[in-house]
Amino acid sequence: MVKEEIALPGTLLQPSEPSVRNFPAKNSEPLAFEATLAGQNLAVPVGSAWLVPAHPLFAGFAPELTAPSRRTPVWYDEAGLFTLLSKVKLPRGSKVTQLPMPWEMDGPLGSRAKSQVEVEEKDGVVTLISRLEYIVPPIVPVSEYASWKAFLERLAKAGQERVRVAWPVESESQP
Amino acid sequence: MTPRFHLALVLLAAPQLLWGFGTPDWAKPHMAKPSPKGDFLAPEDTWAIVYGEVSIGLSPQKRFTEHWKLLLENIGKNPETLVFSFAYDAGQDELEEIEMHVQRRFWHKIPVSRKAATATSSRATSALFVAAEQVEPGRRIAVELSLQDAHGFLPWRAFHLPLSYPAAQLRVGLEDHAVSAGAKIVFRAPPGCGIEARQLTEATWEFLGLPSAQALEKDEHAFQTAWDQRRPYLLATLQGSAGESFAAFARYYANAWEQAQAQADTAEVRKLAEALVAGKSDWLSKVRALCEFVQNDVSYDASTLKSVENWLPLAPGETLRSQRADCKGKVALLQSLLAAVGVKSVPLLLRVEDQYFSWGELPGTAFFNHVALAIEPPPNHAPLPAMLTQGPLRGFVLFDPTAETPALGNALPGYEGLPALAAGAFPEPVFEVATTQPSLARLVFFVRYHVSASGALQVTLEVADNGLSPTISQLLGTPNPSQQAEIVRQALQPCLPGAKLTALRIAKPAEAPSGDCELHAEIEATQALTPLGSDFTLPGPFALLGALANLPNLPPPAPRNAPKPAGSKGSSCVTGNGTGRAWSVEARAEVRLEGGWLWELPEPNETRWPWLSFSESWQRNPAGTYSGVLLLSGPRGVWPAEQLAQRLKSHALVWGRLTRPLVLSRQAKR
Repeated sequence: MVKEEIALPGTLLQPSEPSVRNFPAKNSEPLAFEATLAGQNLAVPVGSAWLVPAHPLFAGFAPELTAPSRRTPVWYDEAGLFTLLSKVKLPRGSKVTQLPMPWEMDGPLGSRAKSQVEVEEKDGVVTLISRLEYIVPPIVPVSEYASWKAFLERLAKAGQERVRVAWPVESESQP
Repeated sequence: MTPRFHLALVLLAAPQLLWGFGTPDWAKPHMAKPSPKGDFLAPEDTWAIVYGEVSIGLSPQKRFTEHWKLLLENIGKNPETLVFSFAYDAGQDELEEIEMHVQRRFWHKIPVSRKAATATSSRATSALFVAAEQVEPGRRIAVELSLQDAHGFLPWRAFHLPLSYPAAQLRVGLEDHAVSAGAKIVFRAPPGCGIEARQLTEATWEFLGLPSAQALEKDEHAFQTAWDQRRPYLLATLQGSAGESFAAFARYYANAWEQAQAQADTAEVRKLAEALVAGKSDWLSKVRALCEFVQNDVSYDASTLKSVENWLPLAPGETLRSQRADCKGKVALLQSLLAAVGVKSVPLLLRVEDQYFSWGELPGTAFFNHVALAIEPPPNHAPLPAMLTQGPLRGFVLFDPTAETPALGNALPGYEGLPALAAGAFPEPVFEVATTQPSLARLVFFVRYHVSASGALQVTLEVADNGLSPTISQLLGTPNPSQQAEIVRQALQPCLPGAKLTALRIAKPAEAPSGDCELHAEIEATQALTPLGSDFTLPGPFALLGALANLPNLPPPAPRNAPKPAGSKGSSCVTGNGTGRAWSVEARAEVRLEGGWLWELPEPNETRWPWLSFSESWQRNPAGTYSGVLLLSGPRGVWPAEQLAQRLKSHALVWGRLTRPLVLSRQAKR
């Protein structure tokens, strides 16, 4: 049941039933959950390289708003600042050959989004570290519907961003 | 035949309030049983059967009857309302009388209401609800009721387990008089199903710690076999009855069907048939006109599903008046229309499911759920793709007026290999469906990509579908063009968010050259490219196929497809790994890149597993365009449960191929 409450924006990874890691003692403290994520096709081969989603938790995100116009405001039960932080450890010997550039964009009603993908190499282990932040307003009035819809469509591109990785020869099979 | 249902007695007892007042004698010894506990109870269960008995008997007319005794406990933490609902044909006065009687006798409010749903017949789909409202946690209710003719004319009683509620102890058996009359009961439990059963007598079974049906069904996944291949059931049959062989049942059913058809208003049907075929000269165009009428102008309505006579069709006159019917009603009307113009046809009993199943040795274990029609063409008629090539109706044209995607004569979606029963006096009425062109659920797809120098993408889609894609079926059932556009936009949104749909045309089978449902769409996406360093990625053209076709068994990994077995107590109960419908996809793509874009062609790939064949190949054309062909198909079949993980992996690999993006770079940089 908690699982439904923490539905991920993307569809590539599916969480198991989470367990509570930290139950807040005060209102100001956050509630922390821990869950295992499972998915397939995290990396797909393209030519001699592999493509890995830059933001795995957001990969597969599809904005629900598709109608060109709307007569009523859009209400979001879950509004505010969302931060998706991912760390993906690549097989030893992998080499990142292309990364998406960092970007920021502003949207209506104070919404904005920011993406950054970096590579960290430590003891021969390459880790992709990505951070995606975006703000969702609680109510989108009809007058702002078109610009909010356009903002979400641009945000959805973050789910399609990939990192190109040269795989080590000995592990050519799909990870 | 007047089906009857008798609510013989409903008794409620809450131990602290009504003990000894309304508790039936049988419940008193069982009241002392401890509250149900154990891992057969799911966290969401609110009621549990403390003790239950189902006695199967025979009426003087040799119909199966049932007598239920259930002692239920509210095992939840809150007051709960218990509701039983049955198909019932009582009048309002009778229901009010029952309600008043129950209130007077038991001092307990029991609302009894009659629900006249959107019935297509005054005798169908009346429901009786019996409810005990707001029963406190820990309290028990004793329910006793009798069902007579509740299953219409069926010469068997299949008793599915588990029930809606978990049961600590449940006994199911034949009454002595039924055994003496030649009734017998068989129990089937798939290996490893985890349900504990023991035989008390030759005709009585007891189940302990039986989880609820909901607890087992919540983890259904697309690759499992059908429920009866995984779950136990009991089947009661009567010696010498039509339930003992398929041939006897085929005759019995055909007789009952003909009696129902005899109620047709022949003058009205003939008048309509003559109007529909007016101006048509040849057999095919005449029959097609009749088929199209039933396929398109009679909307599907399953509201008679719970009717006591749900095995038999509504009278064609009734369907004509309401223009609504389920599969049987549609077939019955079409059969009458065909007969009115001198064309013979035979109803076919089928079972149609996405999950794999096999019929058992008796008609009661076949679990029929569908009726289609075999239509006799004139002698020496030219072959049609949907002509049956074997069985007692060899040469007849297989047609299903419930399936809206293929026109008469075209192969039906996923019927190849299904067992079928021809209703009539045939020595061998059971056969396996095989048609001139295999009746696969088939989708033919063409996509044209045009990437401009600025990176804007223009897409043309052409799809012909005979019933594989749920999205296309949804489009057919949505006449409003703006709603159709919304369905297509939503289907494409994961691939091309914000893409503009500039043109959309849907052609029904009768209007489409292929005889299947056809879709044409034009799409513009100005922001389709996603930067990747100095290069760009673009959603692959076959990703649109996956999105629009919503391919069966090829979704992205999701819980419902996870290899999590459904079983009692969370244990393994995977007894198979199958697909119920054979299917195929033939997809072609053409990619035109302008303005110096370069694309490294993917290597051709061809892979075969027993359950899935996949091939993809691309080539560069002299004109600078690229052409791709992708073929996918899966047979109907069942494979060892141990191969399920391998199967899921193979589907995920193919899905990965299908959704793989194109990486584009600028020529100047090379």
